[in-house]
Amino acid sequence: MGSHLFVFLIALVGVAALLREEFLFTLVYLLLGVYLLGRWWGTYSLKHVKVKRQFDRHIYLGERSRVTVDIVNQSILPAAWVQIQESIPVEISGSEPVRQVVSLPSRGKSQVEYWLEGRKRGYYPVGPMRLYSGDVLGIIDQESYEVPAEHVTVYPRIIPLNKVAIPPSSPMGSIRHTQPLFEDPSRAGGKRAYGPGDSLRRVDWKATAATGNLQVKLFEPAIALETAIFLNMYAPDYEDRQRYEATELGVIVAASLATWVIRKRQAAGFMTNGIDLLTGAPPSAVPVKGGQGHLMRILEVLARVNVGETDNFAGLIQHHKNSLSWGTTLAAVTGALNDDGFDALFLAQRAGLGVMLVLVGRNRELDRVEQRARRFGIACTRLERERDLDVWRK
Amino acid sequence: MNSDLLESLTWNEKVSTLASYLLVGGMMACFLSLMGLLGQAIDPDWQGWYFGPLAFIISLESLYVYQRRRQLRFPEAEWFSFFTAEWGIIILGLRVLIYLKQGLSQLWIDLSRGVGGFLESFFSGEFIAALVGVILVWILTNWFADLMAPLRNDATLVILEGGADTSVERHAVRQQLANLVLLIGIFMALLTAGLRSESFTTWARLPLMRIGVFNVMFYFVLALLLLSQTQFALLRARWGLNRFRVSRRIGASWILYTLIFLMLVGLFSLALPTSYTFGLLSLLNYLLGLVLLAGGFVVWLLSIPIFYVSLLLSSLFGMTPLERIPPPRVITPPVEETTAQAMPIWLELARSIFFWGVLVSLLAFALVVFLRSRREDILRLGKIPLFRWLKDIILLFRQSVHSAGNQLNQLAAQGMALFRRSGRGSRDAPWTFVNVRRLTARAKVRFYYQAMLRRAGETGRARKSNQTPSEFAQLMDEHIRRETQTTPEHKGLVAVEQAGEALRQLTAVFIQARYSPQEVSDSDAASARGAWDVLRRLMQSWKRGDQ
Repeated sequence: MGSHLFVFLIALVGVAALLREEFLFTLVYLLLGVYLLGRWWGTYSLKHVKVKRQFDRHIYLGERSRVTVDIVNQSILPAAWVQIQESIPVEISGSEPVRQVVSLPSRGKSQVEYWLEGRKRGYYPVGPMRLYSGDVLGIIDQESYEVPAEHVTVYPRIIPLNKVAIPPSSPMGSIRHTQPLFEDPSRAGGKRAYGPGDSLRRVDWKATAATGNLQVKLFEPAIALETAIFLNMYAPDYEDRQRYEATELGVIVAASLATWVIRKRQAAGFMTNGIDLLTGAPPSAVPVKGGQGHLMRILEVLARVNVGETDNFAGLIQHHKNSLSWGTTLAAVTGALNDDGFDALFLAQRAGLGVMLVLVGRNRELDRVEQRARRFGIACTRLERERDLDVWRK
Repeated sequence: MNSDLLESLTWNEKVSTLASYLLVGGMMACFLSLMGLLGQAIDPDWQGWYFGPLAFIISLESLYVYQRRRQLRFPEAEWFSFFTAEWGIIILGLRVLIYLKQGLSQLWIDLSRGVGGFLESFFSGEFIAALVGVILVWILTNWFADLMAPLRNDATLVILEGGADTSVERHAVRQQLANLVLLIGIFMALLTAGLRSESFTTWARLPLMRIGVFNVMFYFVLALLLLSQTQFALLRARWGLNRFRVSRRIGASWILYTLIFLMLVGLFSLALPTSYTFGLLSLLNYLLGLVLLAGGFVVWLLSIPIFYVSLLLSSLFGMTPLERIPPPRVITPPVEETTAQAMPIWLELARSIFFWGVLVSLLAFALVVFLRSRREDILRLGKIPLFRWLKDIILLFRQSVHSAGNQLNQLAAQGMALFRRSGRGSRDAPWTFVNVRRLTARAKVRFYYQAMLRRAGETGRARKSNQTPSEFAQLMDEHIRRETQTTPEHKGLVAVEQAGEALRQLTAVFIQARYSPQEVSDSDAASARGAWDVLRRLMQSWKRGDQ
């Protein structure tokens, strides 16, 4: 259209000059004005369109979250048409693809809504959103503008656990235990008559005065359940065919364990040698701490972690075991364990850490690993599939 | 989703189609009413005011029945019956309209004339003229309808699930439609301009008419609106194919925004100057006339052999020879126009500058925008030898201009630097034009001392940066003694003591001028000059670089 119009305009100026007709100049102005202002309008309007997404940045697996996109025209000029195209990964797409065309009046606003659904744990981009606009006469090709993507974290599946056989090591804590070795002097459990061998420090003098016989205090045994969860995401440790399922099961186990520990008002930490999707490098270790916020932090790392070829599992344990306090339970979640790994676990055990091995996935070598773990005196649990976690639910 | 999508697409298509029909009707009304005005101007007794509404109705009728007509095949009986019925109604309607215009009494008069007389009066000159106009409008409208047909049926794009991409076809249709619109517009604009031009009407033996401007302008506004609808149709096709959910409001707002936009641009255009020329339009007119003259001359040259051949043939067969084309007349240069109103020359000039400035700026800007948007085509043109040579010449010219500009800039910069340095002096500067007389006494002393330093440096005895003026004076004194003793020819020129005294004097005055706030008098400057003269004569005899 442009080329024809331009030739026409030149001819028109020539004719106008030849015939000395003023209205032809007005016609030239009209067509030129339409051409130039049309171009300007087409490019200008999109520059003043602002987009804002509102949604929950964190969702649980299976949860649906509504995304509200506000498209605002901040200019006094209307945007005749704005084509909106949002890119959503299929793993979190909860509704039809967002492809919409709206017209935005001067200082006008339009709202688009769609749903996200957490189908798979991960860290996903919501967007980018491409906006296209142009003039009403087709003078310019469409202008486009990209609204950068924002991210949503889908937490991994958490299976509620009731009874996890974690070896207790730290005598000071808040969880009752059956072994009287870890009696907590702050948790009075009753009184009984003094017997030979009872320490005089246990004598309850008030009760003795009241009864007239020597009475000693009884304390409830308690343990601290500080747990450091080590998740092996080193790709070569998993068979190709089983890698995805085994590592995903490992993530579920780690998330469920961390949730169980922290809901018991205990402290948990998380270390892995996987790749953080956010940084492309191994995530930094989450220290052993308690609290719901800390659990969310662990879950966030677990949501983003992926298998990779970084540090091996033995190296990961050796690197972090010295930072753990005495008596902390080291829960190693892995799909395989070689000699170096056993050495690392054994050294950790000897250094005063409680060691617990959780073998995930199906691997022919795991029988042998399980036997070796027993020989080393390491508590070992095998979980081939998700439902095997029922052993900790009963 | 599909039902929503179909519903919104269908709604927008309906709105757009209705708007397009009305726009085509309006354009045809503008076109035919211009013809009516033309007829009215030729024959003032004839009233052609009804041509506009008539064209509008005929155009809408043609568009309305277009789909039905399209389903019929030409040789079939149904086609004939449909065509006959349509045109029968049109002809009757037209005749009734003319009777209504003339008054119903005319009908009774015609009926009273009998069958022959009635038919004669039925097919009157006015009726025939109106019928020709109606046929013209009908044909043009059908042309428009043919072109607009592929711009419809958005819903099928969705239903076909990725069927043929009609957006390509729609692009071509849009281009054809734009060409047709422009063609009619050019015809209307030229006709109107011609009828308003004295030279053209004299040549065509027509009366001078001041008509049609509104028709042309309105036609172009409607045409632009129609083109905006074709753009909407293009986008609808793309949205339909890609399953975009389109807002229902968009069709109506599209028309509204385009209308407002065109109104604003129209008002802006009306506000711009069109008539202040200061003789430039006459010049342009003359130049264009020369171009036309050259064309006419070529035609005349070509006609000469044809004339002689026809002369030969006519003499052989005894026929009348063709009339020879007269040579084109030479155009006289434009005569300076005298303004009817007594307007100051500067005001006339300012208005002319404004007019030409606006016009040329707009055209230049449009050209730049156009060339930028066709960058690839221009690059492709560069591969053709002729354009490549042209490009090389332009580049060479640009480089020459650029280098000449650079040299001028350098010269100017040097001049400015010299100008800025004057009065300050610079030790690093190789030479400076300093007017010593204009310097202050303090600056004069510094100037003479620095002149001594420079000269000492040229003879290989430069002052080191760690030497104070006194230390340097001491070293120079020793050197002067040594030099004057070893060079017998200089013994008679300057006495050693005199030179040493001059050096000490110059150094002392310089220290005072450079490092103390004490006022430096003209006598100090004069003594520094005298000392420098003594030293200069001595140092001129030293060999350059001699240590």
